[in-house]
Amino acid sequence: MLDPDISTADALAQLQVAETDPNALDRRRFLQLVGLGVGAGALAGPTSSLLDLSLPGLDPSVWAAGPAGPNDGVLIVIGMFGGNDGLNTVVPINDGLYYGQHRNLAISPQSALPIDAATGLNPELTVFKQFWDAGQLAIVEGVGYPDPDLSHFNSMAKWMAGSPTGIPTSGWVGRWLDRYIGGGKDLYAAAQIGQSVPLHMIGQAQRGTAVPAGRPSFGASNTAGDRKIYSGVRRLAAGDPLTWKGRVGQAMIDQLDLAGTLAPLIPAESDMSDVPLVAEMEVMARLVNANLGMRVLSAGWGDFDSHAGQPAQHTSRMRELNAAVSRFYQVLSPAWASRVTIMTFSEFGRTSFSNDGAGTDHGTAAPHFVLGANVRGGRYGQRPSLAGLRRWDRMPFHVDFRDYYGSLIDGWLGGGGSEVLGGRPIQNLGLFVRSPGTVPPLPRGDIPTVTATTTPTPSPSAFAPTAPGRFVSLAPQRVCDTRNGVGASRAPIGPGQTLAVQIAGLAGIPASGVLGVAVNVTSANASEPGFFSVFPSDAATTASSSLNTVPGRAIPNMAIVGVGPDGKIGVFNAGGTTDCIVDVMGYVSAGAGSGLVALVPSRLLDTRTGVGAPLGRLRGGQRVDLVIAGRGGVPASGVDAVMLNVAALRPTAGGFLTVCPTGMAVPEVSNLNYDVGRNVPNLVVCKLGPDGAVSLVADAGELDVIADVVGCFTSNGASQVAVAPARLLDTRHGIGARAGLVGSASEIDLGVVGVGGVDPAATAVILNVTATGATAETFVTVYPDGVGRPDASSLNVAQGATVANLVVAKVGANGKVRLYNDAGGLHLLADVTGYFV
Amino acid sequence: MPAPALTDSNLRHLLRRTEFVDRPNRVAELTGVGSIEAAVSNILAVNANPPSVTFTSPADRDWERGRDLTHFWLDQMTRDSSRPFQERMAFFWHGHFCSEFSKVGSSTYMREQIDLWRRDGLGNIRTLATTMSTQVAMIRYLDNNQNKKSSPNQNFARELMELFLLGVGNYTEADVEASTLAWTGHSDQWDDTTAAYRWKADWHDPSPKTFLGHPINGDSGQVAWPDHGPETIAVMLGSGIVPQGADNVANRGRPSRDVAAEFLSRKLWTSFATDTPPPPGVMAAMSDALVANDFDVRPWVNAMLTHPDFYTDAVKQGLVRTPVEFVVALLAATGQRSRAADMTWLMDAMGQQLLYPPNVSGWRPNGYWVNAGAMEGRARTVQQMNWAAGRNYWAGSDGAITLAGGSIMRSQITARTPWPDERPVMTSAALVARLIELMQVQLSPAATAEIVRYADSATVWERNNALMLIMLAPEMHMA
Repeated sequence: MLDPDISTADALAQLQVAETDPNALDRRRFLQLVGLGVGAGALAGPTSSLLDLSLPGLDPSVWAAGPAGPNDGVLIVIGMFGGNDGLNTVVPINDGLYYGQHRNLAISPQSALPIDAATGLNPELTVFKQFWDAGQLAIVEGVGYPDPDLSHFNSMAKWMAGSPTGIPTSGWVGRWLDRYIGGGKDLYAAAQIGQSVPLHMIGQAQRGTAVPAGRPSFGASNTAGDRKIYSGVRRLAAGDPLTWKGRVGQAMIDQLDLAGTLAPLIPAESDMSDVPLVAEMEVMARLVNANLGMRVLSAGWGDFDSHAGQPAQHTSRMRELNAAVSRFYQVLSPAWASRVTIMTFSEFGRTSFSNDGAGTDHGTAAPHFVLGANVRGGRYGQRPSLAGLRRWDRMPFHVDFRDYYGSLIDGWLGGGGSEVLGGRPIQNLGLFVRSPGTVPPLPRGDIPTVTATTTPTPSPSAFAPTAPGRFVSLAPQRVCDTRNGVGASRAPIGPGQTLAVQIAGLAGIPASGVLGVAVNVTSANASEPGFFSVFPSDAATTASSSLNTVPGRAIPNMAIVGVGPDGKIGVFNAGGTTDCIVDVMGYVSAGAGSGLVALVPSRLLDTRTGVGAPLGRLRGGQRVDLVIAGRGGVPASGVDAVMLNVAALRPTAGGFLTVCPTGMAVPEVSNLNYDVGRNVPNLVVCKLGPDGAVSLVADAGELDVIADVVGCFTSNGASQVAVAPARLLDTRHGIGARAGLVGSASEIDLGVVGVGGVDPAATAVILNVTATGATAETFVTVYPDGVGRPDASSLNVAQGATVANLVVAKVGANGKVRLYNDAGGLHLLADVTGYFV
Repeated sequence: MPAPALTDSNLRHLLRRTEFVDRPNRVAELTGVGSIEAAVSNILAVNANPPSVTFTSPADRDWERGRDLTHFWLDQMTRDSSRPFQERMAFFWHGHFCSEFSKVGSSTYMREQIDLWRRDGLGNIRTLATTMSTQVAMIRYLDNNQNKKSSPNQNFARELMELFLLGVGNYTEADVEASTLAWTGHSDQWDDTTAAYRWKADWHDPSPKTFLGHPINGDSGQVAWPDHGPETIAVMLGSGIVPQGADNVANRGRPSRDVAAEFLSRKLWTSFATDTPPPPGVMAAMSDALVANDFDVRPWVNAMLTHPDFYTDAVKQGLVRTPVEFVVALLAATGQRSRAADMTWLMDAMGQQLLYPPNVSGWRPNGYWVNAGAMEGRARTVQQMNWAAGRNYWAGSDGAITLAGGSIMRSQITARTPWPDERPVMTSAALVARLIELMQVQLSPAATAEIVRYADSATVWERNNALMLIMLAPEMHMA
């Protein structure tokens, strides 16, 4: 007869309470809604959708948690739906009872892959055997929960919820996500590969994103016609997020956001396996490689419900699992291997007694796998005994699934397992040898940046080089902000529109004789991915990209650009609607001023190591004064302004960094905007205070800051000339260097004088450098040819991302600059926009 | 409670929920009948003998025969049936008493089951449940062909209670075991090409059993052995009692027919009205109608559709079209036949394929379809429909976009006034209004304005894509 523990009074009492609670989800309705791996937003009802989070007033700058840090573990969750036969997965090869009870479908000791005297793996699991042999496969035996339920739906709901009792309204990964993301919104923290989100990925406030295994096509095209359609869909989709119609619209907007990010990462269907799980795990590996910030990726498949004909069915499932894990590791970048762990789950095992149809019925406890480079290989828990079992008896469990999940959360996802799993102390199984990642190398430039749209080739332009000009630095001031009507009408720039920004005649800037201007341009509230082109108002609009706009984020970049005869610069917006903010740091004039002394980059500030400031993170509102005069090749006196490459690292909140001269009140400007967890670099030009120092102020959160000095402005420095953008380097097409990826620890020597309108006598060039297609997280340093490579970075690249930054590079004695790539392979592009002579 | 009035809003809502789309001819026809009750009567007056699909694909390509069936059924839903509610109700039963084509492995037996829902879907639930239980599709799908006295298989007997008639918690494991044995013997024949239904008496356990507190299979000789299984359905919908040992404490000791009536009513409401449980008034009206009429479907559906609670704003705005309903709406708006539009291959990407429910619990409403991944499938489906409606648009000197209410020519869309003005002769507003009119759909002024704005931004050579935006408008996704 049945296990007498099924449906005990305790479980009933739990269920009863919630069922009479008018605020709780009706249990039977819940069970209609939660399916095998497809629980989905069905559960959400009207009040718990992710879409509810996109409420007016939510600060979009905290929508993304950013890339995973080097010590953040990534967990891959594999669901085996239908109830996996544990006995034929981890085979008790010396147990006569197994061969008696599983009689017509038992796996022989000869065919099982032996791992010890008593145990063999299913013959299909050859990759798992390799992990076992490498000491990187943990087998957790007898995982289950008290009072097991034999219904697929009930039991799957309990497993996904991570709770053996009560009404399951949220899942264990989802509740971890609630804690991880906090109050923001993040499409890129956790994902289910598939069309919908199962219960385990749904928290009380947050939920994972559904990422289909196929490459998104809608939303990924860059033709003007398609982009107009996408913009139309975005406007059409806006609606009340509390209605289902509004949620439909928000899902359409999410789809467009995701498509732009995911399309470059996901192979064509024809290039992926026909076996869904194999394709899904390949997509997982690619999402990890791209470092979008995904911490948990989940997929599931079946059917494991082998009531009849089990040998063929189960063999196929095991073969698929093995092939999927194999493919995953083929695609996963080795750099990530130490940060990824794979785990399995299923709603139950199966009966030990088989039936005459070579099948088994719903069971209870079963073994599960945890594998990865930092997993401590071995067997955990206890295999349930088959002794004394009768026809319908089920096996007892030995490891509570809450301890199984908790060991993964505490060992791999940064802790909080007990809180996520109902407050009960976790009996940690000790599944890991090491924490995620390796000991972090002391970083020079580990600054991953955003994914973005492609950078177009500059088109020929009628813009003629300006006369050489002298630089006059200013206290930073905001000259344009479309969000509140400063310097422009109070409306975002539309797609394809150009915003004219008045420069000449503004406070501190003469009304005439202004040749160029140093501005920090920021895009905010962009409706879709696109780019800004910043150019003199009299130039034909160039197709060069100054910065890439990203929906939901504020993206800054510095530009040193000519000013048209009408005293204006133009900001062309190739994308959806977006707000634009322009802060002026100085101008280039035909009259008196200073000139640039370009320097070999030198790190003057690193709060991570205590260089230039006390060791410790910068807090919101805190002001750090950084002495520059007399350091890093900067003269001790006579310096008007300096040029720094500044980066904000791993902020705990969204905000912006302002760099200003010491001794003045912090102006209402931003030099770079940062998001939670996301590292952002930008070039900064700043006048020095009376003590030869600048102040750096962050407005929110806690963050590390680094600053490399790349030049200074003095009376005898070089004059600036703006030129029409010209592409000097494109390794995708063999421009400036041979075609092909720039390899790990490789350098390119690029001639930058006498080409692209640059005077042969130029001492420094202004380059907009873009990196794309990086196969690993890396950084790029641009420095003069002929000197030792400095400990600094110009550009920091996340795997798979496209990143641009303005670089002012001192030219080597041979008229060349050198571009160094630290790790992996990537393509590099460089457009020259001006020079100093 | 006052009966709901036969307003245009109520009538369109009623038609969208029961006939997939508020077709102009049906709106016109039913506007004159005087009351919601009369309109519902008209909608429920379905055909006695709907046509069945004739397979055109060869017998050795069974998978393609499944597509024959899918196209046929979508066309019945969209245009071929004069009473599409017949197909809508069959679609409900398909998602309730589920079977799945790849496990059943036979288009013939899938057709047999789907035709049962289509022909008798408004008949009696006891009859439907009994008939489907002994059809080959269900026998295979839930493994009753492996259920024998010497080696019972619980799959069918468990789901019959848990998902089909009572809901989880309203029975004990002992009831599952008793029912499993009662259903032994109903099997299929694997050793001939028909694989037809077979009664296997030597597999059957004829012993007396107790099920939901009621003795069954006891009066040997009185009840034929093949009727032992169906006795469990009679008990569930008749004299059964939810046992004291069942999980669902609130229902213990209640007549199982009342529990079944509420369980089924909740499911019907969720499919036709909205995803929150039915308010007490309509719940009582529906379950009373079921019990009072011995589980006849028509009075039950009538009770829901004529109840004022079905016409609240929350219900009207409370249901997202499933992918099948979305496809039917697009086929209707563009006047396409399913096979010609060729979009069934995209239905999996939206999350729902006819004949392929994801599991035995069928499909779920609303949030299940509302996520970025499923929306990608919908966008691609709209691209396909846009192509299908405009497949001749670029052909020859002047092609057309063909829609439900007629065509619009390329020359109309692209004609411009003479240089130097060169404005489109047909304004964007006129173009969008005309497309909406030809599609016989209703869009909000705000959505219409955004589509006009798109058409203004597009070149004259792209303006035809305004059709795509109409099909993607959030209104089109709402049932």
